[in-house]
Amino acid sequence: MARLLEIDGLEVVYGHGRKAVTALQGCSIGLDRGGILAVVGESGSGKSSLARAVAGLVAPAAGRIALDGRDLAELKGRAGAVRRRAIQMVFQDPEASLNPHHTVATILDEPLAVIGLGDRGARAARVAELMALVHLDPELLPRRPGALSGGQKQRVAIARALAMDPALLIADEALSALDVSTQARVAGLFADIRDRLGLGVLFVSHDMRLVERLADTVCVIQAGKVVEYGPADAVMTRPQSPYTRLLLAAALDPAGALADPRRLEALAAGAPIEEVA
Amino acid sequence: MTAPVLSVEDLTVEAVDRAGPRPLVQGLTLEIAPGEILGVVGESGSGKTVSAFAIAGLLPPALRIGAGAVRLEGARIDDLPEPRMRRIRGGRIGVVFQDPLSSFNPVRTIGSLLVESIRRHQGLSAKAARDLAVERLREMRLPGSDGSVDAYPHALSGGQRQRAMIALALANRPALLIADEPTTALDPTIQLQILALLKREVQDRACLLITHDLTVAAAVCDRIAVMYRGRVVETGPTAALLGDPQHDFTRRLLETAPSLRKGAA
Amino acid sequence: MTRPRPHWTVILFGAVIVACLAVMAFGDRLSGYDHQTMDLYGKLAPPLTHGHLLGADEFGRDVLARVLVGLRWSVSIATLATAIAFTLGTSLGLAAARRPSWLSTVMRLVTTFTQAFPAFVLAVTVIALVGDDGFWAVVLTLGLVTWPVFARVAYAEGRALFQREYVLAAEMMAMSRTRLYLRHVLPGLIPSLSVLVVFHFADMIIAESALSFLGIGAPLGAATWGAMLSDSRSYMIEAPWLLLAPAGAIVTIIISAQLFGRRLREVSQ
Repeated sequence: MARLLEIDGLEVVYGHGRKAVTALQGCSIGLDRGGILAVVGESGSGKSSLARAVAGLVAPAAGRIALDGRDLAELKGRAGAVRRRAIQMVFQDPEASLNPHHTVATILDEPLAVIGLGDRGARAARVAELMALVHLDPELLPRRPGALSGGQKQRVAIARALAMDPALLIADEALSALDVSTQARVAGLFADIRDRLGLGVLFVSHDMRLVERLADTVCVIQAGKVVEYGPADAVMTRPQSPYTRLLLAAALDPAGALADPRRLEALAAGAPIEEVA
Repeated sequence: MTAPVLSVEDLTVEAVDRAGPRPLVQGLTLEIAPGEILGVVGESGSGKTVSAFAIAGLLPPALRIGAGAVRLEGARIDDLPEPRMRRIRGGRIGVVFQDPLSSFNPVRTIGSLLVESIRRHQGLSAKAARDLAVERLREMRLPGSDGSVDAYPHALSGGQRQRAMIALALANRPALLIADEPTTALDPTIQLQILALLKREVQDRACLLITHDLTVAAAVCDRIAVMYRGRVVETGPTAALLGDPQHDFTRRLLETAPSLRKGAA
Repeated sequence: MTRPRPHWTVILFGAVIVACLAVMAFGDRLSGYDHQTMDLYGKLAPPLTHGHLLGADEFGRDVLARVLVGLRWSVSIATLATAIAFTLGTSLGLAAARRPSWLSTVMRLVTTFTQAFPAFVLAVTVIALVGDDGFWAVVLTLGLVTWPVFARVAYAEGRALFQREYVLAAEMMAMSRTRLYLRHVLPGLIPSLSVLVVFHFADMIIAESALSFLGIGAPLGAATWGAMLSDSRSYMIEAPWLLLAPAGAIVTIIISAQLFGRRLREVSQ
């Protein structure tokens, strides 16, 4: 059986001609149902370009993205767009993720109406289910996004994505705008959803600590290239690429990195962290 | 024990609106000795940034100090009129903010800000102040033989801007450095460099580091105070606090940073 | 909770709109005269004499009646032309904003060109070339010549809106295009477009008056504000009310619309 998501030699380029910028190149990774694949990198590394290409929001310049063995490039026009509903996304900015003019009830009802799920009553029942799935109080249904906290907004965004019954859920820095403890709870929600619904999660993040908690496969991207790709345990405990080692040291153990006075001095002097480790 | 550089005693900060005063920070008491870095850790809305602003005399008009005292090198500063406070800020207190791009005036060079601050607080000539500015910027390892003194903020990278911000905060050798989420907007590898720089530059100053990230606090702080809903719920030396957290909230924070637990155990 | 009293500009513009609607419904009957009836004894009668509230013109026709009939003409043309420009400009602008295509290129060219070229001159040229005049010719010409005003704003704001995460999420649901535009994109444009509608309406009143001042559009002898202004020039000294009455009507509508539009822009920001 084909893997849920298979990416082969993906390249993303912005702009044309001399002004063209290659954001991602030669990216080949895969994800199975029930798995969480973390894509890690710093800002500008190309990790968001990867997410957007899989989501169909930018067109790849080269390479192949296949969902259940089917090349996404073949899914054209209206019918293709409908097939692509199997891929849904949760975005970084909770403030911009929800239509400010709609109530939570409308936001969650809309995808159900779009896929043509039953009558008003059936949809209301499903909305209640979705609210329970993301642990939100049904009392929030008549509220507009402006009256929700950041964590609540992201939960609504997750529920909206789940309403489409996706096979693949993309989380593009979906936790980075949240407070640490909210972050932990929403991260738990992703794991919970994966377990219950058995979908695949493409978890894009710069935060090694969240990745350590959630992912079972990790792909590290630096300057548009995959520098490390493997099972999370292996990547976290025995990173092969020097860059991964640095990210891990910087994120998981800054105290250790700063404990040695010579390294402290070198870092303070702005030595590229690669040379210090 | 040496006298503390900063001592805050039972400080209350409140928001004043039509509904009457509403406390944002209650009963904040802390002391920082020379050469010591105190980390104040909490989530957004916990009152940590408001506390820092109150200490630096930067509270917005809707907020005010309700009770308590702030002492810098033994002298009260919370009741000073703004002109005198301005002389202390930039002089005896240096402040580093989270987002250096929005805290810098985009149409002024890094150097001109430094020169202005140095001249105002030290009364140097324009030439001497510029030389000092170049020296400070080079200490902070900004690129170029002139330390990018004539660069505009947008021409620098995020890490470089934060270096320039630290240079500005330390320009007049303050006794207290307040850093409010100084590395939050930076990538992890750059974050480490800036933390290293802060730790190196503290020397015999007192430093108040505000952060939401326990790992950051653990990396550089000697002591940590955990704030939750406007109050300090736990405080202690870094190793002790991480090794044996007393408050529920501290434990939850620790759960989000597994490597700290491993390190402390 | 008591609702705050509406801003005075809102009251002013509201009053003007109500007055316009009343005139649309009742026309010159509100003045007690028919606008074509000539009063032989009341030629050039000053206001408040011979029973003429705003006086009479050189043929003894009631000025108020003619101003009211002129309002009907001007306001209908301005409303319909604004509606055409709004609908056309917003749809084309948004269609071009969704993703880069040949339409976006055309849109940029057209809006740049029309920005450099005065719409009024274009309107005069078009009507002269078509060689036809009358109500619908003016409406269509003004609408078709000025839609790029709306297209430019809809395109610029639409492009930002189509990058907003909630619109991207709607795209990923593969909903119908109508639903996408009406429920997710258009509501975000309402603040700036409604301001633009008010200003555009005022511009169209001016444009129509200018056309009829030049004798373009309205049938010869029709009571339009432009024609009244044009005719009044010969009697400017002995009968200034012939000039002041239509001018006052134009100024009232323009000023109230401009003030209201400005207030709307402040509020929407």
